[in-house]
Amino acid sequence: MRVFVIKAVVSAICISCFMTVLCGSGNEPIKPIPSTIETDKKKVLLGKKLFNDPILSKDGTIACSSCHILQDGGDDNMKFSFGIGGKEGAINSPTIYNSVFNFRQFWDGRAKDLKDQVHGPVENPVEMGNQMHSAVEAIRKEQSYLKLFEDLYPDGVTPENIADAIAEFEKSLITPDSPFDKYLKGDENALSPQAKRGYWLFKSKGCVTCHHGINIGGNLYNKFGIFKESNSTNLGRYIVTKREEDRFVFRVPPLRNADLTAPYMHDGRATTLREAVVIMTQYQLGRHMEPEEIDDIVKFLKSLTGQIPQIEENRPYED
Amino acid sequence: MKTKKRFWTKRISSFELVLVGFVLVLILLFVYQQKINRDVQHYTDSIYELDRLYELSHDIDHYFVQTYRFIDYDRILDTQSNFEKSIAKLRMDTVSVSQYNYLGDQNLQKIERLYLQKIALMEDFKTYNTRITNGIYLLHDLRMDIHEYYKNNIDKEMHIFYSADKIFFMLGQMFIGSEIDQDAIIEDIKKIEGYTGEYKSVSNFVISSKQLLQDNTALANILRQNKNLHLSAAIANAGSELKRYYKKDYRNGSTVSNFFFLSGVLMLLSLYMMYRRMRKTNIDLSSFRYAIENSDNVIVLTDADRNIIYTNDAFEYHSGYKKDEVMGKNPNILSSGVHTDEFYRDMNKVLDAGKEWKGVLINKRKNGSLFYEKSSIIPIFVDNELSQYLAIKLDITDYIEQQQKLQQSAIIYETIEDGILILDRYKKVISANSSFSQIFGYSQEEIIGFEPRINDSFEGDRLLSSRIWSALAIKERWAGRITNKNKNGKMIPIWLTIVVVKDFSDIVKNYIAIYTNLEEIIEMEEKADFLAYHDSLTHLPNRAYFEKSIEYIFEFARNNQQKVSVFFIDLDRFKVINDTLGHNIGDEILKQLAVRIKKVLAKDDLLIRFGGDEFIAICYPMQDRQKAANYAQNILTVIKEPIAVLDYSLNTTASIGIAIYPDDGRDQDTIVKHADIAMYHAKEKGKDNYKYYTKQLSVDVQSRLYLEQELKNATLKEELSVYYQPQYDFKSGKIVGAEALLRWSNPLLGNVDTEQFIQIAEETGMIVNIGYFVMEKAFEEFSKWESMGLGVGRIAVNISSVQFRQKDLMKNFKNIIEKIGISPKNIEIEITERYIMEYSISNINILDELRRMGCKISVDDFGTGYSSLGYMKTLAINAIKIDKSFISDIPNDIHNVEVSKAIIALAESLNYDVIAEGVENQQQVDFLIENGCRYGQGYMYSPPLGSDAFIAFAKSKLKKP
Repeated sequence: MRVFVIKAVVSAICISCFMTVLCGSGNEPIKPIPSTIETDKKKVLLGKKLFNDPILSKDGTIACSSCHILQDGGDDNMKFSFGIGGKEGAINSPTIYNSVFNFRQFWDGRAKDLKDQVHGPVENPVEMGNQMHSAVEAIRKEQSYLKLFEDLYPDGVTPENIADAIAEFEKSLITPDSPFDKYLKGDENALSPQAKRGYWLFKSKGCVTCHHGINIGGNLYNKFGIFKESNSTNLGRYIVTKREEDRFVFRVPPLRNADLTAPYMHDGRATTLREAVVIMTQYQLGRHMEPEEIDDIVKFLKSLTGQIPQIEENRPYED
Repeated sequence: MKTKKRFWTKRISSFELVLVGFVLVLILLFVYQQKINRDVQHYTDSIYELDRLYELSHDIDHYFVQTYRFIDYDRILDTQSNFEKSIAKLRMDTVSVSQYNYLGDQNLQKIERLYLQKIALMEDFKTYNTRITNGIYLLHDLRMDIHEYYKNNIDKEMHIFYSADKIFFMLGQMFIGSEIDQDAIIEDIKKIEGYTGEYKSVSNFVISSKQLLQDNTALANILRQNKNLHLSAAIANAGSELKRYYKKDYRNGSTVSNFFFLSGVLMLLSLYMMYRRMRKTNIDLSSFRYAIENSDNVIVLTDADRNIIYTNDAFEYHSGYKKDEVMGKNPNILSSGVHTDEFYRDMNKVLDAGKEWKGVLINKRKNGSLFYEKSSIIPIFVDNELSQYLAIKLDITDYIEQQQKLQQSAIIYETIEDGILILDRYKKVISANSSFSQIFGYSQEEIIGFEPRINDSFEGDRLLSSRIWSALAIKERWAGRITNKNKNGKMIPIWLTIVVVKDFSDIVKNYIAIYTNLEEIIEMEEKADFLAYHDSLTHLPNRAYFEKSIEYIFEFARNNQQKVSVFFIDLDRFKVINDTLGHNIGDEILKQLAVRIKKVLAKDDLLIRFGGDEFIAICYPMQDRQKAANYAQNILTVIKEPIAVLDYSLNTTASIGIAIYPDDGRDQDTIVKHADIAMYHAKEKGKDNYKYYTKQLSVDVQSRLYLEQELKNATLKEELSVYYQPQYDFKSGKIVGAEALLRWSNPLLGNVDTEQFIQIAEETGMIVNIGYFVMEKAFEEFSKWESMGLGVGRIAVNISSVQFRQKDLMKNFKNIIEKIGISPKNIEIEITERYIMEYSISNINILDELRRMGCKISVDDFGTGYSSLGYMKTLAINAIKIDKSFISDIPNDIHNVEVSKAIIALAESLNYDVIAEGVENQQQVDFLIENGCRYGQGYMYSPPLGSDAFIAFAKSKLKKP
């Protein structure tokens, strides 16, 4: 009798648990990106200038935009990026788009926010290979920057302010109005039936447990390879926390614009989206899924590509 | 330095100190209030944030409770983000207002620390919760797969599925929070482990179950750890601690506020007290100031350097300066320069000694006039140091001027010639000036206290007196003429002026009586009157008097049906006397004659000197014509009597014209005119007689005018002709010369009397041309005579004094001589005695020139004038002609005889020839010859003859030797 009761209760809970995820259109686990985000226009323009300027790199060859190509999904479409002197990095560069919605930056989440993140690539020896203060020196020599900084910041050119400006620019890089977002907002025709099916599978197979929220991921850490050894050379958060349990734990990547950001995984091991989905079912969900189901999910993922923002050219700053 | 110190002590009064204190307290109170407000705000904010934190920490804990199910981690992130924001806010507040930090850094740190731990746990929680959720779901799916797989094989189904089902449900107990029996589950897992190779899902189920167990253990561990992180408690604790601190601080704050409030009230109270005191002082001061401002005294304040710092209105009024003009200036701008330097030195000596100076200053107003100030200058000392000078001055200019006026008045009072009495209101004499005493002879003592008698002259004194006093009761002045007796009883005419002096209340205070002595004035007046209406020489009434009085006389006569006779008396030849003997003698004659005529007239008759030698006598009432004639005769008689003047005994006559009012005229002009005409008539009738006016006389005057008209045409019409009267040598009976005489024969008038028309010719100036006419005619005739050999020695022509006045006389005379070719020695010029006496250089020159030319000069009508014989001696005269009036009655008239004798003797002594005129009989000839006169002319020999008759007469004489 007791067992029965327990059975009944567990079943009910399980169902209710999943019902919250699967049903109720007003309570979707994924939220659309806002069409605009509030930014300081001037800072955005300064940030853009800095973002595109190799001045930040030690030898003046690498700009932020070298690896985060804004016209191509906000990443460099390579397994690993190349830094100064052609050095190859150890991690796949993530897209810059919608990074503002990520709860932490970097794969290992070592940066608290965008501003915090700026220092990373600049000082990474295989990326820009520079020191922040050296970058400051370099910028201070540029008359065009001095005035801009002085207009915006009372203390002029500082590492902090450089980071602030770039972060402000990055903040503006959001991709609203993806077909899926339109669907979420009530446009039933925005998604194909296959994509809709894919979304259903995405939710019902448990993908959504990790990939949810506004950025469809990017709001928690998890271990890469729960059901299958990932064999990653990168130790993930362990590098940051040195906790055994954080070995191979990475920030769950956001899936927006996933179609544009191949290759996938922190080490770029998956070259196609389908491949990535398959890896996910095996490594993370420990589930077998039918190829049609995979196709449907891929179809769904492709509906996550949004509008690339048009950032005003910073003409006023170029003379 | 000393002054500066005093300045400050003076400036900062206790009032101001308290005021500053009060303001300070207010400011402090305000600042403190701000602090309290800030604290309250801070406190409220902190409490709010803490409440929020508390809520959020609960939210976070709530997530931990939501195990094994899908959670939207964005929401957790939101919660975290909010929590962090609140923390940041609190942190910022804590930093910015650290000194009022009730929260305490420690509390905040503790919260932050706990939070961070919790967040770290949360991350793990998320990871494991995700896995477990998915794991359960996976198990559920796998269980269903197993069931499906083994449903046809009961044994296996019973064994494997049952175990799997059991594992699933045992694990599922987690959901309802029950402790799961791990060992039992592991046991069951072992049961199906053998079948893992049989079916993939079984192996998956085993792996998943193990994984789930493992993850659950980890999760349980996380939850356990979380239970030990008492974040909410820490927050609550911080909150209560904050409240406690705040309460304490609030109590302290209240105490401080109360202190400030109390001290504020105290200060306000003391300020009010001071204000009350100051107000009272102010009222006193403004009263004083009002008194000073409105004082009649001039008040001037200067500083120690004597620069004016205050003046009142009286200063402006008295000095004429405006306050603004004198501020900061030295009072010596008023200096008049009247006072000596020594005066100011003495003043300064007193002032420098710190004493009050008193005295009278004579200062100058702005307009330059002087004014007197009775002044008192006081140096004012504050703390033994000279701080100011106060000058109080009273303008006494009016007083002094009044004094001066009084002095002047007193001098006038004593020196004026008018007598002045000052009476009291009871009309008793208070004072009398010395002139009064002089006029009336009373001394002051004799009249003071008495009522003066206003008028002594009439019986009706009382009447006049009462009239004056009643007039004075209404008017304030009475003036009029009275007569008063002096002490000696002499009546003195007085012009009396009485003035009433009243006091402010219009009550009579004094009477002032001014006695002007009119005696002299009246005398003067009478004298002036006399002078105006009397002739100063003869003291007879003059023409003005005549004109004034004659109307009255006529009126009187008219009213009484009476007649008035008016005698116009004109002295004959008086002008000759004046011209020859001088005005002094003439005047003397007039004086004597006036007295003589006056004596002849009746007492009431009026004798007037009408003009130079004209008198008018008015007799009224006139009884009859005869009486008037008698008067006239009497007047003539007295005039004729010789008059002794100086060494002369002079004879004169007069002609009198008589006109009767109202017969001959009814107004004075007519009467006088007619009397005048009558007088002329008398003169024409040989002088020394009187004539009544008749209407014919007026006609005569008219005819004279006619005569004048005719005479003008006479020369043109050749009505004038020259006759010649021979002059004889008595002894030889021969003609020695001839006198040319003019005759006028007018067709209407007949032969006009020569004397008459010559007079007219002289008066009108026609004589000049007539004279030349005569000369030409006579000289031509004489030339004719000579050529005929008639033996007439010379031709005599009369030249009138009018002719002599012609400047070109000599020129024309010479022209005529040359033209006719007559020798001047054959010419005799006859001049009148009067002409000789018109002594002038030109006359003498003309006579001299004529003599030089060879002309003879004789004096015609000698004896009728008043020639100075002594003077005649110096003149170039050849002969004198005795006037026929002297010859006519010879030898019967003894007087004429004597005169003729005297003239002849005179001529003899002067070696002049003598020619007698008007010789009519042999007796005269005999007398003349006997007395030495050789020549003569007259009717006895021949009347004047016309040219032809004369020639015939002369020829006849030639034949008879």
